Amino acid sequence: MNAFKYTKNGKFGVYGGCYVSETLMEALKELDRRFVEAMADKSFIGEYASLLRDYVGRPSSLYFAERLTEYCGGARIYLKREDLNHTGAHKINNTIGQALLARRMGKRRLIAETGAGMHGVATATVAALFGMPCEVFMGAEDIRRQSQNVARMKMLGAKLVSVNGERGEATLKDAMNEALRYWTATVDDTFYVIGTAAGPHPYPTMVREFQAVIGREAKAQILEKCGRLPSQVVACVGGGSNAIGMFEPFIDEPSVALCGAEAAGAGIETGLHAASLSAGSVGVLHGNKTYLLQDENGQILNTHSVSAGLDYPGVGPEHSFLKDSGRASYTPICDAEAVDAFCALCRLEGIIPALESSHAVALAMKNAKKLSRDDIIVVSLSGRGDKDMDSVSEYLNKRA
Amino acid sequence: MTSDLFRKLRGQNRAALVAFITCGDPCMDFSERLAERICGAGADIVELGVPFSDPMADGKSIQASSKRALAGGTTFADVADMARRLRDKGVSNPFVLFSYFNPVFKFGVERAVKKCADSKIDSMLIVDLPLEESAEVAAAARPAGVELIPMAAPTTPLKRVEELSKNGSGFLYYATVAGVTGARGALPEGFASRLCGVRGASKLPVAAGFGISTPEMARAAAQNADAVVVGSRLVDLVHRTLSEKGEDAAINAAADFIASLAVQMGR
Repeated sequence: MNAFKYTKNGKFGVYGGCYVSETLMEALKELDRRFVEAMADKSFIGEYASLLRDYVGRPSSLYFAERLTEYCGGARIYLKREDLNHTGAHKINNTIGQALLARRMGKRRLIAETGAGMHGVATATVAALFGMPCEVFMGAEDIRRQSQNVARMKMLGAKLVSVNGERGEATLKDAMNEALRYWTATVDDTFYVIGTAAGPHPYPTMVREFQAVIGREAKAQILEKCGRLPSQVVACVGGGSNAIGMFEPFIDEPSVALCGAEAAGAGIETGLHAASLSAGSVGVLHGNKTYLLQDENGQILNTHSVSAGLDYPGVGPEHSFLKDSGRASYTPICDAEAVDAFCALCRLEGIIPALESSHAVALAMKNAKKLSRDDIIVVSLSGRGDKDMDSVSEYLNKRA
Repeated sequence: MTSDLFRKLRGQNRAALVAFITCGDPCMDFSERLAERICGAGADIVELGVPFSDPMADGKSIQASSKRALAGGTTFADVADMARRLRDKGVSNPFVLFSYFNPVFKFGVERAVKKCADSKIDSMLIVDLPLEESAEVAAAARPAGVELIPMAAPTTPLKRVEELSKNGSGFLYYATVAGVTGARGALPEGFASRLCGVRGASKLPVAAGFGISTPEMARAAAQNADAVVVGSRLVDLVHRTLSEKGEDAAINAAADFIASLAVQMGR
């Protein structure tokens, strides 16, 4: 384990850990044991790799966005096309890994939380593939704004559980609360497929390992295409699963800057945002210690972002560690910048990105302008934006 | 200290009745009156719940009460200050501060423990702080003389129950069902034999909680445990009566309910 990997109890420095009620402790310890054991088992890794290849369609391409590069007039921008995966996002890399683990552990069914619905769809998909019943918890506000993904989950046979908020609009945080409650009561036969690199240990590590395929492929592809490592890798950060997957193979490459784009919503100064690393403070939520958006009494705040997948008051604990250690930097990107980047990628490259990924594109565009043609930026295009057509139209109509 | 109480009750061959309230639901003045009254009505120990925005271990009743308490702006410090006022009024029943970790962490672990000690709160129970994460709180609690109540669950192996009890103090809170808090219709199957095993393994007295909602259930639980916890049912009863008939009626209803449970604690 190098300095950036977890040590005791799943800690990344002071972050991470396992802050859950006692009922879940044995299940999490068993999960940790069985995960480590599976990762050392060639047949498990082999089955995971063959599903990623034949079912997901990996490796995803690394595409040189030439017109976007010209438009920005600086560094060359490459897009890691996770949007081309089966189900349309990076989420499936992780759900396949966790579902294989669930089957290996003899669990009977899967549950998941979802924000934008991409993780819900990816979990419903593997549940169908493995013939397991599946329940997905989703906030009422997200059900409204991501109706297309709701229909996909239902079509795939998953049961959708609508979650109302503790206070105000129900989003990803509330869905995760309810999924954790449900899991506490069903922990004997149910596997909780967490979609982001947060939650109690071993989830942040497990999700990183299953998403690290993004960064490993990108690293090999850029070396093949350009014969050198990129100057920067850029990814959006909500909980931070695609970002940690992209960053992981570059953490020990000091020449590569690791850049995360957080959701600044209407702007940090308005208080209506979801930028926990840029504007939050350290606390404990959903089983781990990390940066959170909270008030001075430790109550968690409501978040705001045009993108449902980034609308979360916490962040994966390893990102908190990477921020404090200075190895990665995190930049707030507001709704307007993300939607502009969304439109730019549509018009310049013929690619409709997810609103989440549009935050990464926006940051890459900003950064590219400050760099020269000799520099290379690799962006994690974590998902496609078909699901976001309504949200973007709504936003553009309001702005017009 | 709760240990003195358990020694006394053992002599009387009774179980302790533990009552949970969400402090600040709907305001601190009301909670203070409620706590004082239920102590008089037969509650041996009171759990003072600190509301949290994301109560992941709680069912609908305590979720709703937490929301009401937070609407009034209730904080960790408010709860401790209320305990202090009750002590000044001469209420001597043991108090357990019942919280999620984040409000305590944000207040500062050492500062929070000291605040509890200064407010004459006997014990702390932090729902989402398992043994593996409890070192910092335990290190602060021990010298301050504040007990740290461990929790066990149906999924906890007996060997771990023993370990939890050795690392904790006061009593061991046993959640009788795997799941969240909330009133249930019956005690789970195998309740008595499971509790017998837990009591055998625990070095501390064992309180049975989660789901206990009627005098009959409390009576059955008292036969097998050193203490019986009632929470969601009390919270619901108070809220319902309060919204229908006002504060005095709600406090009377709570006192009557507690009295009806207290008479079931004898063995």
